This record gives sequence, C-alpha cells and structure tokens, in this order.
Amino acid sequence: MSNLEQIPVLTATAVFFISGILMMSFINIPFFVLLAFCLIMLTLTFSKRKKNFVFVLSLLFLCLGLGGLHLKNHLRPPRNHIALLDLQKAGNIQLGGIIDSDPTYGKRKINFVFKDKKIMSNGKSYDAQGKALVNIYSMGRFYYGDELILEGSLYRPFNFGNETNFSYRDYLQKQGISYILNVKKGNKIVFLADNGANPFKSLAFKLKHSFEDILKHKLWPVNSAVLSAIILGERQNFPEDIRRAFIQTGTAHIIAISGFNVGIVVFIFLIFLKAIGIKRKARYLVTIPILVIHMLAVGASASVVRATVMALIVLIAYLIEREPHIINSLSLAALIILAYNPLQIFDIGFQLSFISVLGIVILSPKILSLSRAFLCGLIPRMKGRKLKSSKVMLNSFAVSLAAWLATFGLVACYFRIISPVTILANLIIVPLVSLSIILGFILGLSAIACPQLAPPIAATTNFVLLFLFQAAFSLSRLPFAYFYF
Amino acid sequence: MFSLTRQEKSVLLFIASVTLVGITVNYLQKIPRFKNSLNYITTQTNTFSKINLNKATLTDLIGLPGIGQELAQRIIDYRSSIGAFNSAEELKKVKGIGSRKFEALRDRINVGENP
Repeated sequence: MSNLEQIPVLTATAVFFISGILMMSFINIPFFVLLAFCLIMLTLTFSKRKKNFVFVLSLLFLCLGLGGLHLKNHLRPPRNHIALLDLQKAGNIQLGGIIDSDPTYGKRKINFVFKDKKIMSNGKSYDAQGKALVNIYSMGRFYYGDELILEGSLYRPFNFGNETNFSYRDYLQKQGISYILNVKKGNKIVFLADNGANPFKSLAFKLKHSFEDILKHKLWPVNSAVLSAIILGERQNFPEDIRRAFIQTGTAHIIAISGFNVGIVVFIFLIFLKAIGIKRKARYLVTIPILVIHMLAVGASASVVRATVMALIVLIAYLIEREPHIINSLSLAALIILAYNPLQIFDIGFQLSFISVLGIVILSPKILSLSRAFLCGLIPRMKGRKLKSSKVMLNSFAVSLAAWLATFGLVACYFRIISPVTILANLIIVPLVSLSIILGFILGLSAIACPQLAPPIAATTNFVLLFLFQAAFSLSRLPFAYFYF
Repeated sequence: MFSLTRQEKSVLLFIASVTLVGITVNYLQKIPRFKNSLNYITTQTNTFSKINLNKATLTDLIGLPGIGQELAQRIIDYRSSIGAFNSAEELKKVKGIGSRKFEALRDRINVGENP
C-alpha cells in the first residue's frame, strides 16, 4: 500500500468512466451530442500531448463521455432484438435458440436463460436476438448448450407496486433478459442439437454437478444445501431460518460467493499443488484456469468476477515478479465488469463487493495501527512475541470492522437492518465457514480419490456446520444484536 | 498527479480511440428501420419456412438448426452425386444425419414439386 497516496491513472480512468455511466442514468443527453463532446476531448488529447496537465484532464473527461456513451449504447437493443417486439399482435410463439445457463429444477418447473436465434409467430418467422427466461412446466432433462425450439406464451416480467423498491423487470433487464417464456404441458419442445455450448462453461457446470452430487450423498440434507450455496452458489434450497440468522448477524456475505470464497479456493489449490511438489510459478499458472472455471461454475455474478479478476491480477503479478497494486486491480475489475454490462453499477452485489474491498484496503491498516497502539498502551509489557500472537486476531478484527464501516450505510439502506453484532459474529463465523469450505473440498477430493476416507470427513463437516448454525442462531439471539427499522 | 511517458500516452489514446469508434459503430448498427412491430423483420430472408433440399444453397442449409458448414457441404455433395432428392427421408443417407437430427428437421425441409 506504499503507493496508495499516488492515484494511479487506471483508477482515475475507472472513476471517471463510472461517473459517466451514473451521470447518463440521471441526465438524458442525446447520443450524438455526447459523441461530439467525446470527439472534442479526443482531439484535445491528441493536440495537447506535450502538456501533461491538459492531456490528463481531457483524457479523463473523454473517459467520462465514454462511460455515458457506453450506457446509451447498451440500453439500445439491436434491430432484431426481441425487446422490440409488439406482443399485442403476437399469439402463441415459438422460440428457437440455445440454453445459456445451467438449468435449475424446482418442484413445479424447470427454468433457464434462453439465447434466442429465431422467433416464429402468427405463421411467420424471423431472426432474433436477445435473451428470455424460460419456465418449463413439464418433466424433462435439459443441459446448458442444448439447441431447442420452444413453444409457449411470451410476456414481459412484472413490475411490482410502489410499496416495494424491487422491480423484477429491472432485475431481469440488468441481466439482459427482456421476456419470460412459459412452456406449459402439451406445448411443443423440439430438441435440435447439443453443440451450442462454450466448452469451458460446459466443463465448469459438469464439475459443479459432480461436486454437488458428492455433497448431497455424503452430508445431511440441510448441510449439503448450505455448503452447496457457500461453495457452488446453488442457493435455491438454502434453509430460510439459517439465511435469516446470517442476515441478522451481518454475515450474509458468506452465502453470496465473493472474494472470501475465491480466496479460500486459491488458498486450497495453492496448498494442494505445493503438497504434491509443484514449483511456485507452475502453481500460479495452474491456479489461473482453475479460478476461471470456478467463476463460470458458480455463476459469474459481479462479486465473483470482481474477486476472480483481482485474484488473477495478483497471481499474474507474482508470476511476472511485480508488486500487485490492490486499488489498480480493483479498478480494472470494475472496468471489465462494466464494459460487459454497465447496468451492473446499480446491482447491490456489485456495490457491496467493491465498497467492502475499498473499505478493507483503506480503513483496515488505520484500524490495525490504532488497535496496536491501544493494546500497547493498555498492556505496556505486551511486546514482541505476545504482540505477534495477537496479530492474527487484530487483523481479523480490523478487516471485519473496516468492511462493516464501509458497508453498513448501504446495508441499512437496502435491507433496513443494522447489526452491531456483526464484528463479533464475523470473528466467530468466518473461521467456521472457512473450515467448512476447506472440509467440503477435502470431502469432494476424498470421495473421488479415496472413498474410504469420505465418511469420517463427512462426519467432521456435518459437526462443524452444525456448530456454525448454532453459533449463528446464538449470536442473533444476543440482546441488541440487530435492529430492523 | 500523473507522470506519463510518451508511450503510455500513445497507448491510452489508442485504447480511448478504439473504444469510441467501437461504441459508435455498434450504436449505428442498432438503429431500427421499423420500430415496435413484428413487421420490421419481414424484410429478413432467413425464416422458419420450409427449405427445398433440391434448390437449397450452402447458406440456406447452414440456416437450418443443427447444420454447420461441413454438414451442409456434405448434403450438397450428396445431392450432386444422386442428381436430386426424391424424398426428404433420403437426407438420412447423408453421413452425420441420424434419425434424431432428421426428426428435428422434418418440419423444415421438403424436396419441392419436381424432384
């Protein structure tokens, strides 16, 4: 963090680009006016290359304009996008396309994201682009990458009333989904081919399913549901009472896969590769594709992409023997996510993920030095070894407090809850969750490599998870643990 | 605040210019000719309507689901070797088209009136 005082150009670029996106979401400036502004800024940067100050200033304003242009461009659908269809004239519709997500199997329906290629309505058919969320109300087995023709009714997602802030339509829109297709019993489903998959994503989903099956077979149902959510991002069976306890204790971040989970995955694989005698640089090289597959397997949400990009930058920096710059890698992660989808800036996962990391990077060293000074003042003899032994505890405390300070405003605003117990809860729950994840991975490996070892590891995992739930419940029952408002 | 070398400035300018051009071209491509109506796509030629196997070009065949360039070329080669398809079922004789793929294509193909 020695060079934190200097603002790197990448960070400044990211800040101006983000500001451009935010500005354009509040002020409606026509695309071509903004384009003219960008062209003026570009000309200025070209002509004033020798004057450093003018160059930087015009470049940053160019980034501001580019952010706005990018949002405008993203919000305009392509010519043949299904969002442009007038459904008043369309009856029963047939969609041709490819399954673009890992299908989830509920009690009544199967759902997945469908990437459209063709649309047929009222006897006519056309090329189409865009994504639809498909609900199939019949039995069947579907896989990511299957090419299908589906018949059903297409409708726009609902916008809920003013009493809730949540709009399902906006939520889906942020993921590029503009319609929902309901395929009822008796509607036509034609399987065409199974070769539309991205091989990396396909491999990631296969590994995820194998891992999920192991957890299901070896652990108690509740424990397997919780561990599947924490490790694999499969949250549909997560028990409601445990979710509530995590929210009340301010530890719900462990359910959403984030930097914490990605960090543990990196740690486990680096330790494992070291144990089997692989050299340092080779370990980093092997971990890079593993991280990408992990990101694809768990669903590539904003927080996972952020954490994966940052982890990749750190690994690559170690590979080429450079010092990683955390704020710069955070900026690059933000630019990559927003280049793909600028609407992610309004996603709560994106906001919490970036603000908590910023909080940890900026605030935790200050909290750490203050705590050390306080401890030394309290116990003057506490120096050397004793101080070192308390370092781990102090670090955890500083990180928890910094993350809480950075995010509590947002959490209070979105969830209407303040949890003073958060810092204590994180100190207890985070190590337990880390242990559960490590045991979960060991269980997965042992079930494949040495099945005889799996039952005792499963028993230990069950015990640790049970202890974790009890800890979460007990902490949530403490007086003044949380307040709803 | 920033001390940039000449090369760094050139790289930044190049990236910014490419991004600006990319966004502009992409935006211009998206401007619709006919808004808010299914009619806007009627000008397109690629449809779900049946394709005559005896008259289909390579592009027509690639437009069929599950058929790539290689398989489309194999169909054309087969058609050239036999002169013309007498029935749609004959497509199954082309290497790479099994019963499953044929069933998926059955509604989309015919052999025309004068095979």
